Order: sequence, then structure tokens, then C-alpha cells
Amino acid sequence: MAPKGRRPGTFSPGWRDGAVLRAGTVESLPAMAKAATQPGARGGKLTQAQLEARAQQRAEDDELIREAQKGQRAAFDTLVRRYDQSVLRLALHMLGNEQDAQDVHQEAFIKAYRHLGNFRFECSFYTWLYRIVTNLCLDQLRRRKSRREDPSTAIDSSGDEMDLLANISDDRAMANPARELERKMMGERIREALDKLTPRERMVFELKHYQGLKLRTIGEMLSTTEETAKNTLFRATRKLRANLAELRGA
Amino acid sequence: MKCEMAKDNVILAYYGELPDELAGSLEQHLMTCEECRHELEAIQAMETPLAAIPMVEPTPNLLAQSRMRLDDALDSIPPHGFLTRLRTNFFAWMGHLRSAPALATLLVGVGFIGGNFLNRYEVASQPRPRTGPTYTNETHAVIGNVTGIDRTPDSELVQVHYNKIVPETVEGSLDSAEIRELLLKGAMAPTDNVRAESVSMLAGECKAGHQCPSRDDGKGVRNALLVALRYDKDAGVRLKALEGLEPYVAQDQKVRDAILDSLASDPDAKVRMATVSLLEPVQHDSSVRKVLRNASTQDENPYIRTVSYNALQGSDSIQ
Ligand SMILES: [Zn+2]
Repeated sequence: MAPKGRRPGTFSPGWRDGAVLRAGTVESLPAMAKAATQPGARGGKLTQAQLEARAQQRAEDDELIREAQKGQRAAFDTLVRRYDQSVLRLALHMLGNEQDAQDVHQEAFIKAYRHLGNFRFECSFYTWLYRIVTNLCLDQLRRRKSRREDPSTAIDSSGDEMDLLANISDDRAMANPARELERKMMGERIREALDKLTPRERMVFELKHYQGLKLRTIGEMLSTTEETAKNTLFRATRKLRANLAELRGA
Repeated sequence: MKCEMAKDNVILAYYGELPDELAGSLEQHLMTCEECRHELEAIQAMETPLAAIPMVEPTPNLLAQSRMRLDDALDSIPPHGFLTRLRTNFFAWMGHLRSAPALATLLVGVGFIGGNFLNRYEVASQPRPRTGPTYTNETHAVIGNVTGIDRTPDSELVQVHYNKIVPETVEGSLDSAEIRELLLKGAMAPTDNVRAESVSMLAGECKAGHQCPSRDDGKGVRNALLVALRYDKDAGVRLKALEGLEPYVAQDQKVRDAILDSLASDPDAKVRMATVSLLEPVQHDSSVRKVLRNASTQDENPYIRTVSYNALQGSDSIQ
């Protein structure tokens, strides 16, 4: 499981760099065709060491759950500390709002705690936990949709209006405020485009594009099949493409 | 592969989820289908705008706060187990600090302390990777650049993707498979000279009749020449490709079509010019006559108009 956010762009691995991006000229065409079909470009294969670490982590999680099921709070707390940063990160990116992210964080772990007795070790704790988290995020998004709340203005925990991108402070921003402003406006418009997806499409896209999870895992997390997750990803990608084209046209 | 399926597969390929057994046929499809190539370009183009909302780590402040809130909430759930006293006290202390108005402005600082404390706790409780780094495709050479980093959550494992600069030289016969493979790659190189040289050599092989069969899988030397003729941006390379294709005008429909397309629309007059004489063996073919007729009236170059006209006259007199 890799909930670590991929940062598309500068550090993206493989074929999306270099020649492929220069595909405007005809000569790179065969290279492009080849590049598109190279396996494992995104979310590539894991090394043996990573696989081993994951297996070990899973075994440790299972042990912690057994202890927590027997009533040991400390064991549950360890599980919380293992995963809550990932949970917070996902919720923050999905909901674009610290307050909501914090609510989801709390609600998810309380739910997990209350229902830990039902955990049957059929999937990893992480998948099970993320299933709870994604459901809570989906609920939140649906509520928002029905309220038609403006998602681009968010209030942070101190009551001030929060700048969704303020967290990304970097030196270049200071050096070039005009460019920074442009980037922020772009970010807002992208959020609008993302908000045009259904909550479920938004979630699948989030888990695939930003969290870099495998479709099989996404299917598991959303309690559906890999095939359904796949089709949802197709729909989301196409819609988003159209929405983004609209932005450019506007 | 049908376009509808290809378009789905383009998305899967982009996200690294295309099964290996489908990669080959998608690649082939993309070589021949402009629409699906556009699909790929469109997907790739989404990357930049989407990067405008990057993933950000929750601030240490937010994380510490969320943990305190959660701990309070969990504590209020009655019948479960015991807490370690130290941790309770620590968070109780943090809670007081947070609620004291005079210290409210210090919260960010406290958050940092809390965050660091928790981080150290996490680091201490992490599973240790037991083995050293493992390499895939290890070669002993200089590292060119790092192209990507994947972190395994809550562990110290990272996967680093990088390119190595491995200058190597191979010497061998033009007929050897390795050299041919390299020349085929060279025919797609970004450097003009390399492409020109590769295509020229491949064309020479075709002219000499050495292993230049038409293949249905879109691979092989003849196909590389077809691709070069249709898509290379350098007119010199296209001319070389044309030379290599000459022997196959009569028997290979694909070659003929590519040459007709060049006569009709190649931006370079020298290339268009060269196609006319190449078409001589098939001048009586009706599709060829049609293109020649167009060229004889519409080509912007008067010399090509004349040559095409003459070619048509020639084929008339044969009939
Ligand atoms: Zn197609």
C-alpha cells in the first residue's frame, strides 16, 4: 500500500519526462507510442525489499489489532500513529479544508476503534481503515454537493479564511509573486474542475492520480471490483479532460 | 485493437496499469492511429494543470492538534483498556497549553514540538528494513539524474528511480541483429545526424535486398523506413527513406500508399520530386494516376507539375 502522494511533475518517473513531453513534433511519434505502452510507468513495480517491509508491516499490524481487540488502548494508539498522517493527508487533499480533514480523521479512527471487533483480517488494516476514510470523505463531498457550498473558500481551525495553497510556501514564490498568483488561480480552477466530478469519480481519481494506489486496491477500498474502479477512472479522466479544456477555452 | 479499447488502454498505460500483454498491440495502434495519439497527448497535457494542487503534508500543527482531539475522544469511550500515563499527561499538558488564551499565539511552536515528539516516537516504532538496497538493472556507471522517488508509508524504505549514463560502443556487421536493433533505435533518435545516418544505412540494406521484408507487426527495417518517410521532420532523412523503399513500390501496397501521400503532401519539393520518378513502375495504377493528375495541376512547384504531367502522358502512351 502506498498512500504517499505522488507529486506529478518534477519528480515523476519514467516516460512522462523528456521526449514524450516534446511530442508536438512528428519525429518523436514512434517514441511516444512506445513510451505510452511501457509497463509500470506510474506506480511501478516494488522492489523485493519493499515487498518484505510491507509483509512485515502487515504482520505487525495484525498483531497490534489482536492486542487492541483484547482491549489494549496502547496497541490501538500505535495503529493510529502509524496511519493517521496518511489519513489526514488524503482528507486534506480531498476536502481542501483543514477543519473537515480533522473531522474525518477523528471520526474515522473512532469508527475503527468501535468496530475493531468486527475486523476479520481478510484485508490489511490499512485497506480497512481507508475504506472508512473514503466513505467519510464521500459523505462529506455529497453533503457539500447538495448544499452547493463554495468549495474554494475554506475556513481553517482558527476561524480565518484559509488559503488552500498557503501550505506550499517556497522561496521561489517570494521571488516571483505574479507567477505565484497565477499558480494559485490555476489551482482554484482545477479544484472547480475536480468538483464537477461525482464524489465517487473524484475519489477514484484522487486515489489513483494523487495517491498512486493500484486500481485493485482502490476497488477493495471502495468495496467494489477492480473493473468498476477502472471504469470509474476512465469516466473521471475523460470528464476532467473536458473540464480542463473548458478552462483553457474560457 | 479497436479505438475505443485503445483509448481506455491509453489511460491504463498512463497510470502504469496496462497489462504487459496488451502493451505491444497498443503501441502498434498508436503508431497508426492519430486519434488515439491525440488521446494520449490530451491525457499527458492534464499533468501540468493538475500539479497546481499538489499533495501537501499536513502541517505538524494540524497533525498534533488532530491527535490531541482524537485522544480526548477515544478517552471518553468507556470500557476499553488502559492508557499509558505518560502519554495522557503529555497530551493533557498540551491541551491546557492550547486552551490558554495568552499562549494561543505559541500554538504553532507547540505544534512543532508536538510534531517532533510524535515523529521521534514514530521513528522509534517503525519496522526496520533488514536488507540493504536492492538494485534492478544494476550497471556500473555514472548516475545521470534522479527521475522519481517513491516512499513506503511509515517506514524508512524508499525507491529511487534514476538514469545512468552508460556510454557504450558496439561494433558489428550490418546484418547482425544487435546492430540492426540499434539502427532501428537510431532511426528515432532526437539528433538529426543520428537519424539520417541510421535511416541511410537501413535504406542501403533494403536496396541491397538484405532482410527487409514487410512485416505485419509494424516492426522491422521496412517499417522503420515507412515511419521515417511519413513522420521524420528532416527532409534529408525522408529522402533517404524513399531511396530504401524504391525496390518495393511495385509489390508493397503500404509502400505505394506512403509514397503517394508524400507526393500529395510532403512539404519539401525535393521529396515530392523524387516520388514522381519512383512511381514510374506503377504509373498505370489508377490511384497513382489520380495523385499524379492532382500534382500536375495543383503542385505549387512548376517543375513538379511538369514532371507529373509528363509521367501521366508516358503512362497514357503505354496503355
Ligand atoms: Zn485509434
